[in-house]
Amino acid sequence: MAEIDVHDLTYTYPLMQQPALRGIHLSIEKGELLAVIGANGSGKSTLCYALSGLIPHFFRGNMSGTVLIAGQDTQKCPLGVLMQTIGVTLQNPASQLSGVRYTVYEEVAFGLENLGIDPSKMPERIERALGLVGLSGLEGRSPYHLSGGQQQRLALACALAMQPKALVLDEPTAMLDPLGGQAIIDAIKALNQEGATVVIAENRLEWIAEFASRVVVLSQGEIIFDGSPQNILTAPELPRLGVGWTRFTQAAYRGRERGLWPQDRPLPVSLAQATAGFRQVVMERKMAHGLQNGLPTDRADFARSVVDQPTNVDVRLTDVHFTYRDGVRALQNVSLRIDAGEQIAVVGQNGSGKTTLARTLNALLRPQQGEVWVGNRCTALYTTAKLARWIAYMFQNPDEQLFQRTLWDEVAFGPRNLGYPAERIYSLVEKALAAVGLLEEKRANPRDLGFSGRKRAALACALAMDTPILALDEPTAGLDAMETEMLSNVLRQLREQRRTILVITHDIDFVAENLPRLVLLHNGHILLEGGTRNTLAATDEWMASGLHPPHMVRLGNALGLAKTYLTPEEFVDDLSARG
Amino acid sequence: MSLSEQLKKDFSTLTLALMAVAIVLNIVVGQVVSTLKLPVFLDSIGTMLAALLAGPWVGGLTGLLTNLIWGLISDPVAAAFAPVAMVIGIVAGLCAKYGLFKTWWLAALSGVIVAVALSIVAIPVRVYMFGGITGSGADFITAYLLATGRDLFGSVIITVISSNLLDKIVTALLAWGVVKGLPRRFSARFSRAEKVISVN
Amino acid sequence: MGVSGDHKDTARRASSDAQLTRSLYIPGSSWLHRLHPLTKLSYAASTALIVFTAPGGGWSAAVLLAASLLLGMLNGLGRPIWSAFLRLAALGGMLLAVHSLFNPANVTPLVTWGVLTVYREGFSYALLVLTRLAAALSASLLLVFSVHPADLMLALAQAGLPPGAIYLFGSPLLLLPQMQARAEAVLAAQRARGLETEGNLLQRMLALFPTIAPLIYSALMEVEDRAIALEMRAFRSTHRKTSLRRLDDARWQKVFRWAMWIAALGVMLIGIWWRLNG
Repeated sequence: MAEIDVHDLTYTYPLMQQPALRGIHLSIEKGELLAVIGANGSGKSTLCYALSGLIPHFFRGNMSGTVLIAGQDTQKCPLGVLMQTIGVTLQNPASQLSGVRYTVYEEVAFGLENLGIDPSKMPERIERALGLVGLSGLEGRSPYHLSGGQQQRLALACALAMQPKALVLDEPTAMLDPLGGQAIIDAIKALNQEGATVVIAENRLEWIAEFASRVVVLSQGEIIFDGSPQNILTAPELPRLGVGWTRFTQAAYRGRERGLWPQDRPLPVSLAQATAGFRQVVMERKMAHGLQNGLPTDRADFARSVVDQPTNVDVRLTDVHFTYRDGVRALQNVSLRIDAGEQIAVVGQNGSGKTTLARTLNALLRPQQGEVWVGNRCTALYTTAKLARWIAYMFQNPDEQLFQRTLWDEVAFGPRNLGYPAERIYSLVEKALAAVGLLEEKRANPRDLGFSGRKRAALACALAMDTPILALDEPTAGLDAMETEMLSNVLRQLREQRRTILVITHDIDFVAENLPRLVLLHNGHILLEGGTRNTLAATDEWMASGLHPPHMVRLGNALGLAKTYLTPEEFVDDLSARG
Repeated sequence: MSLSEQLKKDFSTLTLALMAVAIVLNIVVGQVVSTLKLPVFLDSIGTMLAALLAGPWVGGLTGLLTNLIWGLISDPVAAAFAPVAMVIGIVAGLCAKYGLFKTWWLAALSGVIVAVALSIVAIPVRVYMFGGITGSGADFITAYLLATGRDLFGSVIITVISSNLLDKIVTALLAWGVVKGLPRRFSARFSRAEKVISVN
Repeated sequence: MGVSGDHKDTARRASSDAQLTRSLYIPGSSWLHRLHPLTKLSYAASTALIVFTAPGGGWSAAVLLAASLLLGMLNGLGRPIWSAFLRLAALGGMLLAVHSLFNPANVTPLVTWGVLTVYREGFSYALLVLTRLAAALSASLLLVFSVHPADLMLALAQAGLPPGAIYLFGSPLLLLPQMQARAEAVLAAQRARGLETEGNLLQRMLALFPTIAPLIYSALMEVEDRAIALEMRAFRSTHRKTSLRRLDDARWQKVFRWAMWIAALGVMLIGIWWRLNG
């Protein structure tokens, strides 16, 4: 008997017209690791809720069909019993904490206490669970003193301690940086290897290729594909469905167009497969050594962009030091110059000082030493509100700023504060909403939009302020492939308008493909700074920073190529140009 | 339905989570307001929200617990005013139940009603336990009224009502504004929110 | 590892959490610290009950105040208690001033400075109120300084308080710093959109909704996640809940608690009778 059996499941949320899930048939065997992928809004989270019993017990709404978990019908069995069979984790790490326990150890014990487990048996379960997720040694820490990645692993440990028959994980890495995400993925891999049944909703395709035994693709609530990662992740329809391909797959598709990748060879989904597949071509063309000059594509600018008509607003940090109240030295002796019209990425691990740096630009944080100049204004002399005229800042969490009743008013809030005349506000708001694809929703309540919708709303708010400089904090987090494409388009438009852009991000592939210049921070110092291509080639510094380089760079390194490639297209085009 | 089943229904997990969050809001919003240096406290915004979303008893309990918890972590004197905070929640919830939060000016009226109701409970506590004095600026009003010949009870009534009136009206307006702007799916979870939103 | 609730564990926890929970708890291992939390809770509650309802003047209050101060000083809490009393100073000052000068029952003058006359009735009334407040405050400080919130929750749970109530008492303390951080983040985000928060009164009033509403909205949206988190931990399961940690409780403390409650209720009844009969 299958561990989880879903039969003809259709579900509509309360007050909604369209069903979120339609006619789902799914059968999951013991020990499978099933990855559920799909664009935002395709129903991944809803499916996770349905597989855990939260639908129908917690989310009312209209459910038809059956979901059997280890033989128990979720509609008939009470939630308290179901929760003993199924372990669930959600996207947001901090809100999964119970909030009533002061240490990690007791947090894990909380669920066991509720189940009435014998206290003498608890330590063993707790220690085992913490060990499985790699949190041993942190037992005495307060759950609220953990990083997001650690909190997510704690949530997983809490679920594991209850010894469920299966795990359902709703995008556990969505809010984490790559290192935190990798730690969770490793923990999940290890669990599955010990025989755990896992269903995981996930957006990062490269990881799925690593560990899933089966992949299901959702689109608008229906299962479109169901099969092995090898077959599904290479399906030609994926970009149209909003899911996209791994970069290795992209390279191979392009390779097929150029005749470099044989039609009968399976498309790669992992680094190893891509390396093996391209190695032959590289050997034939003797590209492993020697210098090459690249062919520019239209996706990334390689030289420092030189602006003919400087807008006279550049950004200068000189010898900036910033220490937080609790003694953390976030920025040490940082000097940086951003010319008008440049687009620069700020990357680094959590705690490297990226956000601190961006926040000194509009005086949200004032450095204890050094100066920050925006244009010909020293930030020390202005309040944040006044600097908003020249620099718009998009925060990572859109929910920290949305408060109006309609999206239109929300986006108009910034321009109104800046005192623009009504006609200008109108045109700015309309253009900003159109740029992020939300023009149809302008009368909607911003909070009715899903997370990625709210994120795009926050971007629109920043765009509408019509400032010469924009700072975007993790704009790609939570976006699916199509939405990321939209963001690229927005950046391109802004480049054409000669605006200065600063993007803080963990998504190093996005940086490689969209931003011509980058700054790598580590422990409050600038480790690397310069054109994207050149900095990505400096392998030693990247290793020191603890970050992974982009996938195409990894492929290039694995193949022993001298040139640093930023996009799959560039790599393949270069390869074929040499033929 | 037996009592324990009724309790379980009214105090579902969602309601418990709402109350916990509302309690924290009471404390935190009060702190935000003092950074803005405005002549209001807004330390019962969470209580009123809980009352609007989940009814008078939930609102009352939220207020009560806020003061008890605040008494535990910061200022034991606050615990004495727990009944007052409870009244704020109960009265706000009852106002909402009888349709007094449908428009902004009705909400303001509810604020007045809440201010008067809480004064009725606060004054005995004030007078009897604290001799009518709070250690805040309002005491000057009390002193003035006493000096002009009023009795202690009367002086304290006037002081309490006048210092709470503006605050409770603003709190009620804010609570109304927030509930009106809630996303649809949230108001679907809390059926009582319909009373505020349903009109427009 | 936290199984027996020993003090080392509590102390270690407390040092990292004192700032986090913002409670008044002061770690220690004095005799007072080792008492069961419910004993201290009963002491605080019955003291409050007695000092405000006892017949006669402030004698009961004075005695209990002295007792609490003595207990505090003997157990290393003397300095924190005095610092907390400083907060009462403003209140006390106003009490003495307002009542000595303006209390309607003032008849007998004590001292006169120019226009102001200090009267005996008002002064002694103010002194009575102040003594009562100080007695109640010091007893509750003994509780609050020597009990970690987690231990108080555990004690209440063991005493039979329903889990929902425990959750309501315990979780706000832990949520508080997170919410405060978010309040600051909202303020920063809105200022970055050009909202003036330090201007004239009108500007600050207009800034009220934009700085508070996102905080409230995000808090309310999180309610759902928190409720799910509780469900995920089988909060609603019908099993009889067990507890990893247990608090030590001695028989004499149980007896003493009962005695305090009975004494307090008795005093309250006598006090009511005494007041009703003139």
